[in-house]
Amino acid sequence: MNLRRVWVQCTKELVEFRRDGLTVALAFALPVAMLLIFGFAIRLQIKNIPVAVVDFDRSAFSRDFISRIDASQELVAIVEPLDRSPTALLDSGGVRAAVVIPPGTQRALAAGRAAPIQSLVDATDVVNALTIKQILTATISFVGATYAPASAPPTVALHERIWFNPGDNEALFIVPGVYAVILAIFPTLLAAIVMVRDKERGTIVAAYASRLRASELIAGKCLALVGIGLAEALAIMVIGFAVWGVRFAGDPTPLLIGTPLMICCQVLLGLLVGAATNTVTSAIQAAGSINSLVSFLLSGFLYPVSTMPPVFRWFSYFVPARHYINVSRDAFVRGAGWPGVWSELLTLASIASMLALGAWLRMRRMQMAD
Amino acid sequence: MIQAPPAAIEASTIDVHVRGLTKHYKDVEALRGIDFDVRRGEIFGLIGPDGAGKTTTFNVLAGILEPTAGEIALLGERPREARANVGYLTQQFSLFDDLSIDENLRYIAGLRDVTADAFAERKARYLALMDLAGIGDRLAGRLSGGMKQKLALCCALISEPRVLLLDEPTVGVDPLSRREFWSVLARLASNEVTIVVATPYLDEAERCHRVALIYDGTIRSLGTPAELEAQLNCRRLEIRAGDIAAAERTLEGVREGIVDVQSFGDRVDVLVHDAPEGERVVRAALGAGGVAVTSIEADTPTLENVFVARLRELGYGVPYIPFPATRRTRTNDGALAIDGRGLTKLFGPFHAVDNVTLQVGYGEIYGLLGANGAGKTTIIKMLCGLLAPTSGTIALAGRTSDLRAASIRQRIGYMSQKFTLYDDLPIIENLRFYAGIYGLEASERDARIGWVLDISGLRGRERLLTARLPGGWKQRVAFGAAVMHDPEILFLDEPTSGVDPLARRQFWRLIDERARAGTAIVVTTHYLEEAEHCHRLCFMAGGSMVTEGTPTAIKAAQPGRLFEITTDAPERAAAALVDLFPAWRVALFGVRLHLIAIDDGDLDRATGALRAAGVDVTETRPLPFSLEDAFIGTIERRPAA
Amino acid sequence: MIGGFSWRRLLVLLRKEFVQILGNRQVLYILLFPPIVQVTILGYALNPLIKHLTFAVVDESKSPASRDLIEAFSANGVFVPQGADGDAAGVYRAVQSGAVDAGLVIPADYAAEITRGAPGDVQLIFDGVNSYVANLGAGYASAIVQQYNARGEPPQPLSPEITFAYDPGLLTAWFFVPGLLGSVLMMTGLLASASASVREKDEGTLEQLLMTPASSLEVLLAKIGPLFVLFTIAMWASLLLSRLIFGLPFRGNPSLFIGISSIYIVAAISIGILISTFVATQQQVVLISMFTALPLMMLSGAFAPVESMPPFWQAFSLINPLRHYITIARDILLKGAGLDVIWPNVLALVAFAFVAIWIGATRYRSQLR
Repeated sequence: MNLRRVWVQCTKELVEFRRDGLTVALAFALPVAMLLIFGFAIRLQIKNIPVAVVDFDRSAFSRDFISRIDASQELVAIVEPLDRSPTALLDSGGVRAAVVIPPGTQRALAAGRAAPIQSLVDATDVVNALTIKQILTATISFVGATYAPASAPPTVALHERIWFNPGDNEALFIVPGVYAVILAIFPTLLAAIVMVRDKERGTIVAAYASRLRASELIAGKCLALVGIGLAEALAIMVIGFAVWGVRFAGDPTPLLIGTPLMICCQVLLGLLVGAATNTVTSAIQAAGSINSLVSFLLSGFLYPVSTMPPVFRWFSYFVPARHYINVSRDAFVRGAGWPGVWSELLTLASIASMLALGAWLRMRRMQMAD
Repeated sequence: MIQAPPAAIEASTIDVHVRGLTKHYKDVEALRGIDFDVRRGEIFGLIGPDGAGKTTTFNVLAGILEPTAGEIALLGERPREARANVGYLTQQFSLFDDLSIDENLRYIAGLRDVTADAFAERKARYLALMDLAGIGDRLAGRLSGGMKQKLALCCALISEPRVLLLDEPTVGVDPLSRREFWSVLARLASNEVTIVVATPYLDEAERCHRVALIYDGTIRSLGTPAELEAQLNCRRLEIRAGDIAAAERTLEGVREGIVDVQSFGDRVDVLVHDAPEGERVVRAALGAGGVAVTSIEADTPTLENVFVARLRELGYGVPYIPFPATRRTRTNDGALAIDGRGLTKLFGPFHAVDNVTLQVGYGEIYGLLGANGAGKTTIIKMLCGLLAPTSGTIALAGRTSDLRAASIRQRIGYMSQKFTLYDDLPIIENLRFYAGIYGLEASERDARIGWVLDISGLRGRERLLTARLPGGWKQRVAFGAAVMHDPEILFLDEPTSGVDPLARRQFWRLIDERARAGTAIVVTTHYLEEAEHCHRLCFMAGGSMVTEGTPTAIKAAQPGRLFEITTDAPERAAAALVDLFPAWRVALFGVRLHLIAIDDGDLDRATGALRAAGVDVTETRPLPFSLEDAFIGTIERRPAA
Repeated sequence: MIGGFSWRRLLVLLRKEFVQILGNRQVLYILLFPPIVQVTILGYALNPLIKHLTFAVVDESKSPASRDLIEAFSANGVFVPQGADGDAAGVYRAVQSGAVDAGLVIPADYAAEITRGAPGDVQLIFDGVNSYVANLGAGYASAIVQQYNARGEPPQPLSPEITFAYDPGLLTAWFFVPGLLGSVLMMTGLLASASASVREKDEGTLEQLLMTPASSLEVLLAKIGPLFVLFTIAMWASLLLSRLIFGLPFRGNPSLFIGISSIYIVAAISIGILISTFVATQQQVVLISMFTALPLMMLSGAFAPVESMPPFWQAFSLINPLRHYITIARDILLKGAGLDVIWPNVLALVAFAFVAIWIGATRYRSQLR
């Protein structure tokens, strides 16, 4: 590989990129805007879910129960008139659960008679449903205990602590993940377009007709796009720090090495897609829609990878964002450094080399197809 | 130079060696075994109709396409290994529109390992040579077509390759720039650069040392232009008459004693075996047809005569089939189809068009001529409503407001410079689409689509994907698509660029016929001989109209006289005369020199200079001004802005 | 510029668009199959319920009571114990390095405390790097301990009877499929239409098209046509596969759902065309499309409930067609709701599609610069 030719290819890409002012602006404004939107808007923790309470009892117990539900962060009690059936309440879509407190519940409690409280939970959102169930059960047994005859004290007192994110600041969970998602999406898109555009316009013939090798072409384009990607990474990380105070929790070196590796993977993926497709439309679908959905959903950004069926857990090993997300969360939240993430960096490096090989195989002839 | 191909040919001086070159695509045999050699420092021309296999040959030579079979060596190496020493100018611009002139050059230079010092020196030299110096930071995308071609040539030259492959480098380039371009090529060849060039302009091909005529994937004739012309074994009668079209029609009806009839702008060329006998036949025929003859002169045939005659012999015809019109012919009642007054268009501070007034009546062919970037396309876009003028008024078919209304668009046909067919549609679907969108009735539609297929010779191949058509054929289909709905007003922006000479004639017969049927036509072209077909035309420069009038009036208004000088060493002769006169007054046409003599003594001074330079003058004769001479003269005499 | 609409011209334009898209196999496949595969595969793969949380245990008590507690923790498969070596410090280290998700420390005096009648203190530490997992895990742990404490007691008089409506089997795929369907249609539809429209501008054919008598509305509708058919097929196939694989219910009126889905697909495609009228190059259109599609997806309730978002973003999501579509899809498919319930969402979708086409058509002609 001739490094001078790599550099020539790289500077050409950078100059071309810089020329399109709108694209430059978009390449930086969009990741930052996305970071801000996701950082502020995505909340996986359940909050303020409306729960209807149909209170036939109208007793101290039922009032206590309602205020207890309101006191929880997760649920909000909405007292409904007595003539509404739980099913109708759920069907109309306004509430996620309906609790019916039958008449005479408090008296039954005091007398030690069984007092069933019926709840209907909307299970269309399964996580929601399970959380509602947990909170309802806990609330009922807590409030119930104060009105029922005394029972034995508990055997176990559980002291739970959540480390690394003591304030339970969800931004600290979301933002480092968004870094991974953004770096998975934008560099790939740019790379795919850069590659396929030269082919579609026929300008690639200039390279074919020279002695530029496929490896030099790919390395040059890759270098330029990784540079742009790094600038994007810097921009979003600075904003992340300024807005949410997301800062290094420990040794920053794994991130400093991992970020270029990650961008390299995504750029090479984009170049491969660009080399394999024949129109910009196909390239965009492959590098845009498929890549971003996979990076979003199979990276562990939202839901842990460990809960997926084994086939997908295996597949997710090939998703660079899955590895980078661990590097990023470690660097900004946990701070364990090398011992925790060295394997992720190694995997990223292997993915990058596989993609580079793929792109090279695709382009190696540097000739027109028939 | 023309006569200069090295006398002693040694094997080592063969720079391009091609034997049995065959290329089969999936369903097409593009090349069926081609053999030729190109010597060092030779300009080797490839001519042939559209789709003959020229571009495929270039792609193989450049090492970017694998041949099916054949032995190919450039500079003694396989094409892929030779790439470092080969420059390739592709038919499609291979420039990066978002890069400036400098950046385009730097990129290509970098790819080809040009050192920084050499790059700086060559860049300055070639940009100066191509008149591009001083605008190095202009974006390639903003350059006019001709400037782009020059830049592309600079890019191909920047590595100082020993072999230069040029695939139709001058298509879309104005006549002035084309002349300059070819003098650059001649200079390069004299510096031992080997050049293979394809061109649809046969007057250019005359300047090649040797020419190969390719047709249907094989070489049909190969030799120096003079040899090919001699092989034809004919004399050419140059006939000037009052009504060229009538003369051509009349002579085509004559079977006996005439080999071929071809019209060239203001004259008809007739090929005959024997000049005196031929002249007699011609005079008799024209006399019988009632066509007044101005003059008849006998001469050797040109390469274009060879091209047309050879191809006709081989059965390649571009038939003229009248348009299956259903509309009643509109009589020219004096109404204006197009009335643009005081048109001005500013792009930022730049005056793309500056106060142009232009009126076209029904049945009139109006030609817009000018160098690349003179504002022709901008005027057309304003006239047809695609671009709002900065100031000025436009009336189209009598309407002054809402030029974008569907009812107006229905009456307009527009063929833009870019190919306007959908590449990813089969030909037939493109035609069905344009027929449908203009609401042609079913019966009418089939007749018109059939007509387009016939004139473009694509009957039976209508399911072919448009993208796979060679440029010239696409142009024919695009032309057909633009006129299919029989518009009253027709805008044609360089309809014939990149089209082979036979197809170009057919285009113009069709244009003439549409005009006779009452269509108002605005057309731009870089072939000035074609512009003779225009009823009126204007020369544009820098966004303004310089001259307007009928071709005859414009030619008559030229100062001075035109002389054709035949010598034994045309290149040397041209060099000698350029020292004496401004460059625009001296032009090389094939092996002949044209000199514009303003003062009476000019001719004598010229012959004296030639004698002093050791050039032997074989013949000197006065010629009527051609439109090309008029054009170049007019543009050059214009005071510098 | 909507005057002079002609059905015949529309048909001609439609035919052209169909031939173009059917002629390019690569585009056809890439538009048709990924959406179907994505909906079904991701519907299968995504699982928000926590399973297999690894936790390191240090049992310094080493008593039957402590083993009993560990047993209770591991019983339902949420927590998977990983035998930890040594002491509490070892557990802390394991959590700290991210090797395990949680650590349970049972102190040496645990058994003694219980025998004394006092509650035995145990410590459970979560790796909060993934706060979603940590929070859900903590909730599970509390429930496990609560159950553990209640074992052997007589049943409490106050018994919650909780019934899960609509998805009694708690199949997460039922939750994800409507969201994924909407998201994939939005993403693919928007990108495909945007890039196809810009392409015509790029290649100069738009100029020619604008010279024909075709009105912008005709051109626009024709652009929507083939993509509409393609994505409708993709939608049908995805639903069918989801029904076969996950037993996705179809409780409401199918024709109502298909009808509304069509409106939604038109809306997604129109947004893409609208975007294309604002930009000049493929690069720009892709960047903007991605930037539009991803937030629409994330802020739609497809993956995280809208109710949990900050109030501003909840209000913002009202102009998100995907949010309305997902609400409708879940209501019709899972709940069996009818127009009487979902009409506000349907109205929003219709308004959205209409506005997008209208602005698109007015902008379409004025974009030649």
